[in-house]
Amino acid sequence: MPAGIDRVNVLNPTAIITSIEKMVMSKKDLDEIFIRRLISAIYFAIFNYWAAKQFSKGVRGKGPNQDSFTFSEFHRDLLKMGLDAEIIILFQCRVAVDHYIMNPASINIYNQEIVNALGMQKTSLAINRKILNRVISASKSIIKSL
Amino acid sequence: MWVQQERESSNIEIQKILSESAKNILSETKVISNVYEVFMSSVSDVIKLKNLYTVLNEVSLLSESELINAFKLYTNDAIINILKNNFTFNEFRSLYGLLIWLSNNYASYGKIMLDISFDPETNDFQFVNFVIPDCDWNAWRVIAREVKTEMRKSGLSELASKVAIVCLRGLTE
Repeated sequence: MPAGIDRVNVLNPTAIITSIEKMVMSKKDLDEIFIRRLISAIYFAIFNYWAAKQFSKGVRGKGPNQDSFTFSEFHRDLLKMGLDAEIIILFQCRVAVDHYIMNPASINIYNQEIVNALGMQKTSLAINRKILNRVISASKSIIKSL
Repeated sequence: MWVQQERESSNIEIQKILSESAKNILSETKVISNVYEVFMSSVSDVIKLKNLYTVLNEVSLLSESELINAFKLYTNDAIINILKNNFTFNEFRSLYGLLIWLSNNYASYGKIMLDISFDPETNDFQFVNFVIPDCDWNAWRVIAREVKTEMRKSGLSELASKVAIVCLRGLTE
């Protein structure tokens, strides 16, 4: 198995995201399970790519090969870069599609004042083609910045 | 003789008119000058509001109890306690400075509120969300970059990784 910079190239998700984008554009009907699995796949593809980049820079994680990084480290690194919108949409959608079964999914909000001020409708996330396209757009911005 | 007197009288009249005009011009200039000073003073106030570093200096004298009371305007006790447990006192104070700076500069997007995010797998605290209610996806991307650039300029690079700018409309629209 190649190490270092080779892992970055092997795990570069540009091609798969382009394929997903083309597929989504050409497919008239996208059922929910299809959208859910694509969002999850995009999140993990970007996460793996980021981790490979970290490893190639000499940052070490956990595990026998020191190549295991946490989601929190991933999110914080992107927040530091100002990619808040991109990582928050990716993270919230990934949580919604992998951890919750309702559609729209409720966004976890601990400050009740926000829910009161905005109303329940504005604090729920619909899993549909529009949000998938947004996730694709966000993932392309992240790849460019990494 | 009569013509001479008329000329002199006319000259005096002209001098009076010129003198009055000069006075008017001077007083108008003074008014303009005052308006300019007021304008420049307002501009400098705006510049002050836009500078996060200045706001951080202004809040640096606040005590812990003053900060907690100030935070209560934006979030609840449970979230304040989580912030206290996950940030150093200096970071806690900087979070308040950031909150004030955001509230001043992005007031047109609604009242900024605080929330927190946990890792759904581990339940560990992840980051603090500064929620801007009424900005869309495109504004969100721009605002987040502006805020993080300002944080870096003000020496808050590390804190920037624990702060998320969240536009709920951009997330859910």
